[in-house]
Amino acid sequence: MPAPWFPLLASSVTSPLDPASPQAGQVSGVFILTGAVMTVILALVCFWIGYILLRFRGRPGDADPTPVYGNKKLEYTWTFLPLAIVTWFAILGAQVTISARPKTAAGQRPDVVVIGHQWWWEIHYPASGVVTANEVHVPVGRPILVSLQAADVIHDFWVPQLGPKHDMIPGDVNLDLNHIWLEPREPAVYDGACAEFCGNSHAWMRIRVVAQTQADFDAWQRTLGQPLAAPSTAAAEVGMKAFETNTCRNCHALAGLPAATANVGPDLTNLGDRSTLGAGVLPNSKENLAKWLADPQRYKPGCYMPDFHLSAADLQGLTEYLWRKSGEGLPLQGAAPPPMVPGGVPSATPWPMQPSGPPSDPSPTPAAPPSSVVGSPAAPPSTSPAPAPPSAAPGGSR
Amino acid sequence: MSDSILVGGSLPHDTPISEPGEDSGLLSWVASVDHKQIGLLYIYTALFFFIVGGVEALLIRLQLAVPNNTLLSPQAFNQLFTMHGTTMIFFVVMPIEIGLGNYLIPLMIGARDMAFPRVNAFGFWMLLFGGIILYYSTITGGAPDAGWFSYPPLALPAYSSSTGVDYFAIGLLLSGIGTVTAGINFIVTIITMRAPGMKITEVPLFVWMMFVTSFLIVFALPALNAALIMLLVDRLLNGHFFGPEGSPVLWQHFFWAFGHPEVYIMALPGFGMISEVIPVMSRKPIFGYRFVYFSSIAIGFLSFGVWAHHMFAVGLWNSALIAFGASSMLIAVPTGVKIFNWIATMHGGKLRLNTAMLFCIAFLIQFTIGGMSGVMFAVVPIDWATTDSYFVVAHFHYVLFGGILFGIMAGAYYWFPKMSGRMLSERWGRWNFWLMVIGFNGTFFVQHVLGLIGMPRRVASYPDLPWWGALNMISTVGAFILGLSILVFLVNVVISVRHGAEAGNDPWDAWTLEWLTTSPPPHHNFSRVPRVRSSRPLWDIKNPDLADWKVDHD
Repeated sequence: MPAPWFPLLASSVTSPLDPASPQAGQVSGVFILTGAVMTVILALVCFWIGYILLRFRGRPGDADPTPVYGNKKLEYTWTFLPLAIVTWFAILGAQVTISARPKTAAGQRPDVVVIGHQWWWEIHYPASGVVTANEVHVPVGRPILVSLQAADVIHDFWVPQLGPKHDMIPGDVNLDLNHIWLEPREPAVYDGACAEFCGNSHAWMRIRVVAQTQADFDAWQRTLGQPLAAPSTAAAEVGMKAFETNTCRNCHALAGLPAATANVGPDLTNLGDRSTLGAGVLPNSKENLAKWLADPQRYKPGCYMPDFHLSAADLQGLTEYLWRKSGEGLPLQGAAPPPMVPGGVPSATPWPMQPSGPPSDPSPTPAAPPSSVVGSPAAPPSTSPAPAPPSAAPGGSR
Repeated sequence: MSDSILVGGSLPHDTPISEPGEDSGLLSWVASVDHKQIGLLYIYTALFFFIVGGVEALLIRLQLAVPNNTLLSPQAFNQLFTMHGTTMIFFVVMPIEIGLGNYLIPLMIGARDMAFPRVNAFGFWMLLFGGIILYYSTITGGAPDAGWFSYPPLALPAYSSSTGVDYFAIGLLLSGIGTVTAGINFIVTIITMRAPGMKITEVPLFVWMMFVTSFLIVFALPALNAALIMLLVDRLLNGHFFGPEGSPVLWQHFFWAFGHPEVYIMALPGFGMISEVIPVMSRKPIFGYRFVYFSSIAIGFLSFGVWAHHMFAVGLWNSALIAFGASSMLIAVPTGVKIFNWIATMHGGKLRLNTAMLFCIAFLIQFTIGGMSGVMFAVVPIDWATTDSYFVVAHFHYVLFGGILFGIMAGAYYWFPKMSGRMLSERWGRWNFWLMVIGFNGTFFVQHVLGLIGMPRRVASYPDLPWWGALNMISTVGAFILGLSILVFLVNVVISVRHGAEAGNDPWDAWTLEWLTTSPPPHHNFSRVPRVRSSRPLWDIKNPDLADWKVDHD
C-alpha cells in the first residue's frame, strides 16, 4: 500500500552546520571549534585505552602487580587542565550567547510575529498588517526581529540554517526574552520545523522561511494586502457557498470575506502562493488541495480539521475558490471591503510597506489583520479560542 | 584473621528480623524484609520493565525506519515514546540500581541487613505499584502522551484529555515516595551499620556512590513529588499553576530541579559498579580513591545548580544562560577526573578481559563520547542549535545506555556469581557484549548526524529529506541488534543460573567484604567479619605483608 504521506522538501538541507545567516554562522563556528577540541580529547582517551589493552594484558598465573594508589600531581593535572578548557568554552559560549541573539532596543517593535498553533504557524507583519501562515517571508539585507508566541501549547521555532531555535511559550509575549533574529544572506528558501513536542501532529509542523530581495518582498506584501475579489467563475461561486455553509470560516480567515476572520486554522489568503499544504505534509498543488479537502485526517492524522464529506461539486468549487495565486487572482469587483478590525492598520513604523503601490494596483489599502494581537508586542498572545481537545477531533482515535 | 568479630549492629547474632516463615518459600516474595530478597525483587521488577520499555523502543524504531511511515498513528507513537522514557528512567535504571544497592551495600559494609528492613520492603512495593498504576493507564483509555517530562500546557486536560497523564503523575508520585524511603535507608545504613573499624572514608566506592546518590534522591525527588501534586491539582481540580494563566515555564524549573540531579542519581551507581570491577579485573587498587569519591561529592553538589541547561531555548535572561552554562561546564571536571582515574587504574595492571571488564572498557569510551557532547551542550548557542533534535537523543543515550547501562551490565556479570552461586557463561557473554556494542553504536551514533542535519526529536514521522531515511534505517537495524543482545543476555542468565560453573565464595579474587561470605550469602550474611582497616579488607587478609593499611598512600 503506498504511503499516503508524500515525500516533500526533498531538495532542501536543514543543517545548523550549513549556516546561511551571521547568527547561524557564529553558532556553527563555535560548534566546530568545541567539537574539534572534544574530538582530540576523545582520541587521546581512546589512544590511552588502546595502548593499555595492547600493553597490560594479564595471563593466567600472573602475580598481581605492585599496588599503585594514586598520584597527586597527575590528579591535579587532570583536574585543572580540563577546568581551563571548560573555562575557555564558558567564555566562548557567553560571547556567542550575547552576539548570536542580540538584545532588542527599548520600545522596539517586531518586524514579524510568529504564533505557534497546534500544528501550524500564524504569521503577522505588524507594520503592514499582512497576515499569512506557515511560510515566513523576509527581505534579505538586514536583521529581521521576530517575536515568538504561542496560542495553545509550547512550540519551538527552528530553522537550522538561520540560527538558534527558540521556544514559544503560551501566555508569554515578552519580546525581550522571546525573540530571534532572521538575517538570511541570500534570497532562498530555508526549511525548519517545530522542535518542541506539541502533540499529535508535531511531526508535521514544518516551517519555511522565504528570503527575498526587498523588491520581491514588497511585491509579495502588496499582493497579500490586496483583498481578494468575489468569485468570478461558476465553480468558484459554488466554492464560496461551500466555504460559508461548511463552517470553514469558524476557523479560517480569508481576506476579502468579511466574516472570515478566525485564526484557529491558517489564513487562506493567496493559498496558491504557498509551497506546501498542511504545514509541510503535501506539496501545494490544486490536485493536492482537493485531496486534502477530501480527507485531511488521512494526510495529517490528529489535526483539528475534520472531514466535511464534501460533494464532488463542492470539492471542486472549494479548490477553485481557495487555490488562488497572487496575480492570477480573480479580478476585483466593486470597492474594497472596509478594514476588518476597528482601527485598521496598526500605527505603522515606516517598515516595510511603501505607500505607493504599482500603478495597476487600484487599492493600496492593506487588509487589516484578523487578530487583535498584531502590532503590539505587549498585547496578549493570540486570543484564538482553545481548540477542541484532541479526543474530540475527528480521527483522533485513529 | 584473629580479630574477626560478630556483626549485626546492636542485634545479637541470632535475633530474627522477620517472622518465621517469611523468609523462605512463596510467602517470602511478598513478606520478606531481607535486603537480599528485596534487592532481587527490585532487580526482577526492573528486568520486567526493561523488556517492556525495550519493546516500546523497538516499535518506535520500526515506525521511524522509513520516511512518511504510517505503521503507527501519531497518538500511538507519542504514547510509546512517553512510556519508553518514563519506564526506562523510573522503572528500570533506578530500580535496578536501588536493587543492586540493596543487595550489595549491607554485604559490602559487613552488615546483616539494611537499617530499616520494613521501610525497605515498603519502598519496593511503592515502586512496583507505581509502575503498575502507570501501565494501568493503557487500559483506561490511553497511556500518557505528553513526553516523560510532561510539559504543560500539553500535559493539561485541554490538550491531553485522556487520563494517561493522571496515572503518570500518580504512578511517579508513589514510586517517588518509595525511592525517597530507599534513599533515607541507604544513608542511615551506611552511616550506622559499617563493620567495626570501617571508616566512612574506607567503604567500597560503590557504597560511596550510593551514599551520594541517596542524598541526591532525598533532596531531588521531593521537588518532583511536589510538582506532580501541583500538576494533579491543575488536571483534576482545575488549578492554574502551569497553564498560560499561570506559568508553563515554572513546571520546567520544578521538573528539571529534580531532573538534573536525577541524571546523577542514575549515573553515580553506574560509576560505582565500574569502580568495583575495573580495579579487580586490572589487579590494582583504584587509582586515586579519594579523588574518585571527592569528585562524586562535587558532582552531587553541582548537580543541583545546573538544571536550567535543559531550558536554554525557553527564553531566559542572558545572565541566567551564561551562569547555567558555566555551572554545567564545571560538572564536566569531576566527571573527567573519574574517567582518568579509571583508565589510570588499568594502566600498569594485569588486565583480565572477561565480559565484565569488556563492558567497563566500552563504558569508558561511550560515556566519554556522551560526556563530550554534554560539554558542548553547555555552550549555550550550541544547545540552541542542537537541543530538541536527534543530537540530544544521541547524547543522552550515550550517557544513559552507553554509559550507565553498560556499567550495570558489567555489574551484572561481576555480581551474578555472588547472587546465584554460579558464573555467567563467558561464551554467551562475548556474544552479548559484541552485539550490544555494535547494536548500541549502530542505533545511536547516527542519531548525532540526524540531529545535525535538522531532524527534531519526538516526531512520529519525517519527510524524505536527503540522508534522513538511510540514517534512520541504520538506527533501526542497530536497535534490533541491540534487542538481540539483550535476548542473548537473558538466555545467558537462564542457562547459567542452572548450568553455570560453580562460583565459590570469591571467583574474581576480589577485595571487598561481599566476597567473604558464601554465594549466595546466608540469610544473616556473615557470622563474623574481619576488623576492617582499609578499603580492601580481603586484600589485607590475602596479602598481610602488603596490606593497604600498612602502606602510606594518598
